[in-house]
Amino acid sequence: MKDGTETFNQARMGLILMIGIGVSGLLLLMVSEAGGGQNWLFDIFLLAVIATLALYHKVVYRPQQHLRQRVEGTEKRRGEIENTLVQALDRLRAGDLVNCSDAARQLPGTLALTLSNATNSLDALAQQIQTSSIEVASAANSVNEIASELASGSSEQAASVVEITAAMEELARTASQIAENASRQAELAARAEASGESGSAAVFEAVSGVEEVQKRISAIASRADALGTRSKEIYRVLDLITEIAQETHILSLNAAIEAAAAGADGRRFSVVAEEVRHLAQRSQESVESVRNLLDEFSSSIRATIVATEEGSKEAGRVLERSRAAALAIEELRGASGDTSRVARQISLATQQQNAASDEVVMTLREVSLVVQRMTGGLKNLSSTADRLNQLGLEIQLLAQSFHLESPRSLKHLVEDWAVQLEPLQSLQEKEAALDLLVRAAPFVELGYMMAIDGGTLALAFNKDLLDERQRSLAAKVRETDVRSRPWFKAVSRHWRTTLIPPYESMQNSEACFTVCTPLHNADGSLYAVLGIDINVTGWTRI
Amino acid sequence: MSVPHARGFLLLRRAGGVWGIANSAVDGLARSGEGYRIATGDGALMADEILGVVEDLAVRPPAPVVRRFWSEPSAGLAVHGALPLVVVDPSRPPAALRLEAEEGEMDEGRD
Repeated sequence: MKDGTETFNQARMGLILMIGIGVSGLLLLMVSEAGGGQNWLFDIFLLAVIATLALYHKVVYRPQQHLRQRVEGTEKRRGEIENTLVQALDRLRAGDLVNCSDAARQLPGTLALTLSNATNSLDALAQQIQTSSIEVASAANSVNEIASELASGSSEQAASVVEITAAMEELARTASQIAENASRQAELAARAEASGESGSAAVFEAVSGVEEVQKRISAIASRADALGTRSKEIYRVLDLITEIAQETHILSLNAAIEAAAAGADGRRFSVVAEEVRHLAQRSQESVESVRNLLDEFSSSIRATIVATEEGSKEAGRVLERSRAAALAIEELRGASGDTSRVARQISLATQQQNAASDEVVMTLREVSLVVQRMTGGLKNLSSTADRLNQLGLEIQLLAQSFHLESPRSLKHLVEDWAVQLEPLQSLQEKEAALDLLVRAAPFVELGYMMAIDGGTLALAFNKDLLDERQRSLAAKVRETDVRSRPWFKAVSRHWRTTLIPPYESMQNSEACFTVCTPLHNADGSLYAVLGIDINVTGWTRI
Repeated sequence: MSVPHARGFLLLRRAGGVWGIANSAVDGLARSGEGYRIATGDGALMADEILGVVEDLAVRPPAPVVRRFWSEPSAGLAVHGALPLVVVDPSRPPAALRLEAEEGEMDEGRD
């Protein structure tokens, strides 16, 4: 185009030049004629100029003029196409692949096809990127949560290891004391065992002694019994003597009576009778003495027998007790031996435990160091996960900067909501419809329609994400002029669908971002802005 | 009742009391179980214990006040060795000395 114009300009300049040459020639000829030159040269020259001019005009100038017109038309068409392409590319630059495709259709033939194909490819890529960014954000969030849990758990683990180490050190000290006590116990048990053996021997001697005593008591009892039997025989003899003494006494009495009856003649006989009576009396007295003695003897014998019986019983009881004591001492000696053996085993085991406790303490100290290093590493991991999470959000934000015809595109979502809300007439209908839309979207915290003068037209909350307190906090936006809010400023800059970078929600302090789009009346005039606050965590979980 | 003049008396104990009987009235003396049986011309008497024979006793007749409280027949009262005793009339022995009294007690015991 530029060459054609230049060519035309050059042709025009050539024509002007030739005209100028012709005029110059003509003037020269006029001057020459005026000076008496020849006319026919002037006429020929004039004719040649005129012919040349005519020929030049027909052959060069007019084609060139046509060419210029054609070039101008092409330039105009090119400009239109360029504008359309610029609009399309401008929309592409803004990430609006939907309107970019619409604009591409207005381009001619191959260009439209090529741009559409490129837009479609980019759309597909952007959708993949959006999907992947959501997955990356979700994974980053999961990694962040896991890293936080691990870091927290590791800190708790480190604290626990420190406590365990302290407890094990205390245990080791206790084990050392126990080992000492066990060693002393083993010594005492050994001494007790030795004492038990001595005591057992002594008890066995005592039992033998008691058995001997019992035998002797039995022997004494037998002899006493024999004495008792002999005393009974003596009693019988005494009874006989007593009877004889009594008969003798009676005989003496009879003799005395006869002597008395004989009078003086019986006097000497009465003396004999008296002596016999005395004899009988002395016999009786002797018998009485002997009986008394025998009674005492029998009483002693009985007492002795009773004593020996009691002694024998007592000796039997003592023997039983001694045997029981011997048995107990034997058992005690056995138990003492077992105790001594167990005490030695305990002493050995506690010494081993003491050594093992020391090893455990050293191992725990090493573990504590490892855990502390691991805790530090996990904290770094947590920081990295935080950064990864942040990057995931940033990638999401970049991915969401594209307006795609996809359910994953938030710009498409908000524009779709705007399409549904714009036809409704009353504010009540708009608010009810907005409430339904918010309920159907589990990742949306809040939906609102704000007038361009900053007032609140409609407000809808997600009751699953915001509790009553948080909802009442969000409702306070009705009392404010939102024109100073960053999201309103961003959307009002170009009055097109805008995605606000992630920020901390005022309601629940969680990460969220806002996507907003202008709302138009039926006549196309702008009257409000539709905004949706998206909960990042809820968004990445869909 | 008569006061005997025969020499000597046989002293005996019966039913807790001390009694005396003239030797001349005694025909024989024998043991009978735990006690003694004294044979007299009028029968037999029982004694728990024979205390002995004495040559002489100062026998006195019982006073009326004694008879008021003890109405058994007797030959008199005497004292020997600070022991009061009753001298028995062999023909009328007191119930305590009678052989029938013991047999009656034995019958009563059998009954």
